[in-house]
Amino acid sequence: MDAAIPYISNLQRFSLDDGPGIRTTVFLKGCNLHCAWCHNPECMVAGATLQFIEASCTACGKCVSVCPQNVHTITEDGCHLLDRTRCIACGKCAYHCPHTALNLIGTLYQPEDLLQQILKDQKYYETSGGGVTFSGGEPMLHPAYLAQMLHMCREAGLHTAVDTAGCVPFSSFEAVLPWTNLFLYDIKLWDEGRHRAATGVSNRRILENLDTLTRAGADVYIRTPVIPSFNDDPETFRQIASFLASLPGRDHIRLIQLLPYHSYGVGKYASMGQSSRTAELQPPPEAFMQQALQLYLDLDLPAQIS
Amino acid sequence: MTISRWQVPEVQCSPRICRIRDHRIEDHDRSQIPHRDRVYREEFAKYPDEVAAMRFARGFSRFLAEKKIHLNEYDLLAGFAYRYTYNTTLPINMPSDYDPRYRPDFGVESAREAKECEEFHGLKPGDADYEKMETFSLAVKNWLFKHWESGHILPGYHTVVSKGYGALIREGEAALAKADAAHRPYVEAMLMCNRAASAYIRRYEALAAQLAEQAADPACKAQLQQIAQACGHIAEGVPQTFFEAVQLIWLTHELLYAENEPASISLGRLDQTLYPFYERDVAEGRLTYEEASDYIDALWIKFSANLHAYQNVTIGGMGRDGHFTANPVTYIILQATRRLRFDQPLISLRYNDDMPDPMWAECMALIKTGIGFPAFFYDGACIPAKLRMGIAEEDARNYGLIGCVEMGTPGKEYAKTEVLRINMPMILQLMMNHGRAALTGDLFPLKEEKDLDSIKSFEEFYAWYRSELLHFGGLAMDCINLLDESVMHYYPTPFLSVLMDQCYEKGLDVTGGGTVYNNSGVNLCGMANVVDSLSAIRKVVFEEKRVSLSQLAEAMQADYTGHEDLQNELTKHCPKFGNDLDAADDMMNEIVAGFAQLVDEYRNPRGGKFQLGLYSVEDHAKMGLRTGATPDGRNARVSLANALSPVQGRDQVGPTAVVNSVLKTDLRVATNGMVLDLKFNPSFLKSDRHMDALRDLIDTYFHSGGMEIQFNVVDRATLMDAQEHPEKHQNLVVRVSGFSAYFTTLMKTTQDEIIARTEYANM
Repeated sequence: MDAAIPYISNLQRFSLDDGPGIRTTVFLKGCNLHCAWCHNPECMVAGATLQFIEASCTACGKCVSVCPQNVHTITEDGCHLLDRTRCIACGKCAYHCPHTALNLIGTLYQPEDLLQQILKDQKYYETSGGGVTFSGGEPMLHPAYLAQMLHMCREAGLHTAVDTAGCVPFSSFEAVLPWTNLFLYDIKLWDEGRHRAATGVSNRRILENLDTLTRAGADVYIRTPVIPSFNDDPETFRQIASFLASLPGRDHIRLIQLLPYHSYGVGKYASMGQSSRTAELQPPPEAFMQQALQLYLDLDLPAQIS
Repeated sequence: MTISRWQVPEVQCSPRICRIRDHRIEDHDRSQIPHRDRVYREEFAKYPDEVAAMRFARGFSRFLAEKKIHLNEYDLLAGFAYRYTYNTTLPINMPSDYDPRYRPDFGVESAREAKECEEFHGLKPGDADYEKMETFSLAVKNWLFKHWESGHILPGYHTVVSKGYGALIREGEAALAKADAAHRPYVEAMLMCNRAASAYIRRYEALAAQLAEQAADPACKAQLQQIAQACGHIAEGVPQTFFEAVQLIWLTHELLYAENEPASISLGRLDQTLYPFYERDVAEGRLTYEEASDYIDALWIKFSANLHAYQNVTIGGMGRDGHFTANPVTYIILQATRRLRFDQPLISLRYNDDMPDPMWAECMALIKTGIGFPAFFYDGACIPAKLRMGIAEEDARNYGLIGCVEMGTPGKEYAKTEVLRINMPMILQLMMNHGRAALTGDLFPLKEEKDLDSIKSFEEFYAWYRSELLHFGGLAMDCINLLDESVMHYYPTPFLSVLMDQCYEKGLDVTGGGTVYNNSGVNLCGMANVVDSLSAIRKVVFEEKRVSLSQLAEAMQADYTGHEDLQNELTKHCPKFGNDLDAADDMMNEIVAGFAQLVDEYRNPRGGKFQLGLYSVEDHAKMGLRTGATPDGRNARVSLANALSPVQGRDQVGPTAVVNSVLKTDLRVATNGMVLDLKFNPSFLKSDRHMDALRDLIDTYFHSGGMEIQFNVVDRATLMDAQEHPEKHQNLVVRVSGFSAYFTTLMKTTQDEIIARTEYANM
């Protein structure tokens, strides 16, 4: 039986930073973590959402005339205001907006249709050693759909990856494990309390799942974003590194990527009607990145700054 | 810091090169242009009964004898770089305060040439050919067609380097002894130019010797002596050293500038021409890599004086053994371009699968500067394209690039690659407006006038468009052929003929079919606008029936004012070329293949064929400026799509989708070349992984039928700032289409077009 179909925010072709080679990354909407620094805030909620890019808006008022819910108001001084509480994400305003200032984020794909899109770049995957990556949001919140897609991609001969924060029942991993070549697995913080404060959840299950997953023989890339004021202390990285080194399945950790914070996602918050908690942050200093990297290298772990 | 695998050494100019570079503008002398014009006119008047080739030879010889020559004490190379970039056949009335920035419009030239053509053929009103030529003139004025005679050549620089002017004179004398009366004046004209060239080089020998006498600085003195000695050797003999070969190439280039339209006089495989000299000098201890670099830098500074001149240098490519060949000169050329960051010369790299990693690293270092070099050409696609035109295998393998992207055989092919360009969207606009151009009201009779609302299906409309495209294309090629015969009568180029194989032997000017291959170009422009327009008509008019064709025509005529909802529908909600959507992309292939079939059938009066080009130089902007609104939702006067690239900003799913879309067209028909431009934000090329991916992208593209690809690496904010504050960005070089140019020197429509292209950033 076909699984329930999740919304997809974006099919990113020529994706180069989500696993090896040239890939297509499929972003599934909905997430059970709420990381302060999230650079894909449009994927936090599972449903379709309206994006408004103020810089592109000319206050022409087209949206006001087509919206059945009276979400949009253009003030006398040319300000475009949105009452998002009324929005039902019908997409009418986005359809008619002549300046692409309004976009409806979230498309439903039947598995066969999604596969067809993914296969369009198959020859690039083959040349570059790439493939497909499912990301989000948290793609593991949709294990049945995900397993079906992964299975179909593998049948088509593709390399498959899943980008996850790992905070799901291990049974979800078991569902996708046979069809997944690589997990991109986030370890964001060591201290449980700080993890809870920054992401809204405990990291206990995340760490346990990683242990189980690597012992089950799955290949993983560990990814740790380096976020000033949230986790940019040597102790955090010392703890994470020694945890990884201690895992019985550590040989399945193929790569550890330290990702310095960037502010590309900040602009998205405003367009989603939210405010960013990291708008003021600067990327971490190179010296700290090197120091953190060294902690891994000292334990003979395959780490790099990405 | 993490060490990049693609790290290459920083490069900088030597102090003596810095000095020449920083003073180069002082050497520009506009007075040369009216001087040349006056001399030619006077010689023409003196010998009214001679064939044009002789009169041109007399003008050329006297100009070279009189023209001001100049050498600075600190110069490394003799030769005078004068900055003229006008596009015209000689002679025209050139004011003494001529400023090349305000060059005459192509339409003025073509109208004159069309009149001469009618006179030459004795055409009269009422004659079918006369009416065609009149339509042609009007079409050029409206930028429905663009016509540009001459220029665009790959002269035999390697010929003069391997033989010397003296041996060529002896060839000419032998040919003269055998020539009959009909061919004699052409051989005489060539000989006169050939001797004038030698004499001109002697003038530099004397000047350099004189300056060497006076020079106080011992290093300068030695260099001037070297120049004098070199000019002594190369005035008639072959170069003895790398330096002498470089000197000969520059002076030959300068001589060609004294005769030909200064557009796209291209150098061919310069690394191959120069390498034997480099190898011998280094082996015998006469030359270092650094000295050779200085000479190439000095040569580049000479080229830089000719703005927008499309002086193309080809490097790399297949050697005789079938493998990629690069030598130290190849590296020096890439590094010189990276050091100097001029818009000239254009660098074209012939790419092969076995290109070594260090060469890729050097290419990437240059790409990252953002100046758009090198452009990559795949031997696996270009050589078969030339073979298809009947070029011999050895010559096809030795191709170089002319101007933007046109493949030619150096010294053997006179291909008029830019002689014709067709504005494809304007034909669509004419169909929607009873044959009248939207912006001028000028009438261009259609092959078949139709009542728009009588058209019952999209297929019928689509067939009509393809038929009208063939109609206008055929008309244009007919006229090009009529012009071909008159142009060789009115505007011969005897000095160029000396450098083209077989001209002496055949006793024929190169414009008259004197050399080995004698083709003509026909280029398409605005292709993606047509595909998007047809795709929009199919959906909005025939599938959804939102409007009738005549209502769409009305909206176009109003430039979509009052029809914004319709424009939104056409712009945003129809399948667009460049997004890997078969519905749009397949039409590109059908239209191009259909036109290619017509092109294949045509022959020119010089016994050559027509070659199809899918590139647009800067004409997509110029043609766009004169074209009314189109059914893809484009407003009047906005640039058309660049070459075979998608309409600016309409490609929304990334570079692989664009490449896939382009690859659905069989590019083997593009025997006159094609352009695919991708624009990346500079942040994109910061990591090795991304640079690897770029190479994988190029490889995949080439292995799937791709021919050319080029990259712009610049962010939108920089371009917008340069538009606002040109004074701050005088040195900003960007890739326009098949060439690069200083951004601030481009017309605003072109600037807007480049800004509007989709930019790929960190994915």
